[in-house]
Amino acid sequence: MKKGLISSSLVLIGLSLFGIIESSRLERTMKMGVGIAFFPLTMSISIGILSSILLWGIIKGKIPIKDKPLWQAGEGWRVLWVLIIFGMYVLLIEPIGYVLATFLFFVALVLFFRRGQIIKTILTSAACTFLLYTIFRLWLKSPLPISFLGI
Amino acid sequence: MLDHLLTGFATVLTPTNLLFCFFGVTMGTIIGVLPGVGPVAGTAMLVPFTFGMNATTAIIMLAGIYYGAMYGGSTTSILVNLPGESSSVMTCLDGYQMARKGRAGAALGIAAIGSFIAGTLSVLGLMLLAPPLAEFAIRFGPPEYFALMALGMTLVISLVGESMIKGLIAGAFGILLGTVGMDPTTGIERFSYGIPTLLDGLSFISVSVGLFAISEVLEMAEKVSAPPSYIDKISNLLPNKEDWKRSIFSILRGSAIGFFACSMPGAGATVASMLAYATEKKISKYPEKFGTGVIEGVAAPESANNAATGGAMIPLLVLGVPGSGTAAVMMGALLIHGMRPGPLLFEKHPDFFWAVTASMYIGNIMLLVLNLPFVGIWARMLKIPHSILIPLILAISTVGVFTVNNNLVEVWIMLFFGIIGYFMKKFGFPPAPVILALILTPLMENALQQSLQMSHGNFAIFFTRPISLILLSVAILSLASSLIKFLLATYKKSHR
Repeated sequence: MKKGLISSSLVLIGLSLFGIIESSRLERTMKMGVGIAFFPLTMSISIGILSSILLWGIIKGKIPIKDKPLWQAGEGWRVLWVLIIFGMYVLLIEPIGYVLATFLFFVALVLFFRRGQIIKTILTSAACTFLLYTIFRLWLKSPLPISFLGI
Repeated sequence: MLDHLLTGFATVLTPTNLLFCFFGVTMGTIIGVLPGVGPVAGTAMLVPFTFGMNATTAIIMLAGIYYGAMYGGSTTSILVNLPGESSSVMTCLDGYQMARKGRAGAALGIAAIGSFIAGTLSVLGLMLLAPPLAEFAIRFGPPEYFALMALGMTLVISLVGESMIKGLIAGAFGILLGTVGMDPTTGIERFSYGIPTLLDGLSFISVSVGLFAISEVLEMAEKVSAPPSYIDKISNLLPNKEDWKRSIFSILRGSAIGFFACSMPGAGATVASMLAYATEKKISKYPEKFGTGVIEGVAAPESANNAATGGAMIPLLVLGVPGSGTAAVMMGALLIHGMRPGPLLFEKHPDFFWAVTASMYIGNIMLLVLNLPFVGIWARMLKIPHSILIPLILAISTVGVFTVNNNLVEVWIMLFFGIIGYFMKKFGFPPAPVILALILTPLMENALQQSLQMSHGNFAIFFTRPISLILLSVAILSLASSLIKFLLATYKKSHR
């Protein structure tokens, strides 16, 4: 956990530097008022100062840190796989349409968590996709991505 | 006032508003029952589905989700010892022990009835306090608004989360995100890097669904466990005479604590329920029995977290400053529907305020009916395996966020903030200040610019007007006191 917190503080310091550089490119003066760079610049500086204090506190042991690893065995991989499957779903939703993409997404994710129950998974996925389509498209009339198949 | 309330009831008692009030409280109960899906995530996920509705119907539904989640949270706390959302944590202590002793029915009954009484009393409080407060706040100019928003933000930052410094970083990060897009005064674009979707700023829906719903799903994905077993022998839902005698004053005290604690920005329903539980324990004749299954330990926190919803409407609707994550999401929804919360809301749209107030009375009755006889159905929802729940939440979030602009960029933004939210939770950074700051920053920036234009660029305007001076002083004090506490704790630790 300590390494993770140190990394997050460093990322925040990086964000602060990025914010300071980008804000200083914005026009800072106005006839009256504070200019459009005031909020981003002051906040970037604040993030930098606060993250440095946090980093100092972590390194010096002044900030209590939970003594447990960031992930138990396999947890990080499960999260990564869910993100990959979800990313694929978002990529496919426009080319193949909402209905097919959602069905495949359900099949992939349910199979990932409950391996080996293919028939049950397909039926559950079809039912969930039908339910979502009925609610969003037919009832709420939400505009959903449609593929060349017309669904 | 009575005339206004009757008009409010007339607005709510239309088939559409009644249907969406019912839909809201039902969804709220489901969200409250399901562990992992909190009221902020649930409300944020469902905001896009209000786009086709008018503002009144939309807020009636969203408010229903908010207080419905408070009701639902008690069911899992009592039957499974698993709080559906953070404000139900205290209910676990005595509620689950009562269930183990075969008194699940009485615990659920007093939780539902206590919630109903507290919810109704808090709406009454809202009704009585809001109009005079709005009348006072109508005198506020841009400097007072700026000071008020600064105060709201500092209170939330200093009260949420485990560490003040992390809360401050989260708040500053939220303000930075709030500056993305066109500057409200000059129209010059900032940090949009040629992405058209970012010209209007980051959509609070994509960010809040990402930070709350997607991050919760990712946490859920870490440990896909079997559905929990629960105590399913539920009988005698109506508390007996002795239960009533012991809990009625706990309900009243819990209601008062919940309402007043949450009528100030910062103290959410979780803090209110903890305060109510601690108060009951302190004044009890048998404090040692708390935690072993005493009915007051269920009545007080459940009443407090429900009264909190009415209390939270005061800073939101009257002052335009949301006091919690859910209230911030509701404020974002109001802005989308063209309603600017604040004292002017009473002048321009009194019908809206009274309709929302009336809907809360009706919603509380609906919840009592839904929660007492159908408690078994809600408990059965716990049997939905995570392997179904995870894709379901992701798919619903995707459609919701997609409909913001009919654009997949919003979905990518949601995913990006989902990952950020996941790591924020891992490292103990509270996500609520990010949303609050994201929503308030454009308004704050506008108020700051207007104030400085009024004073010809002189910052003294904030310290020469009494209300602004008081509000800013309280903001500085709240930050300073938390900072002093933090420094003292660090000093004590290093000299131990």
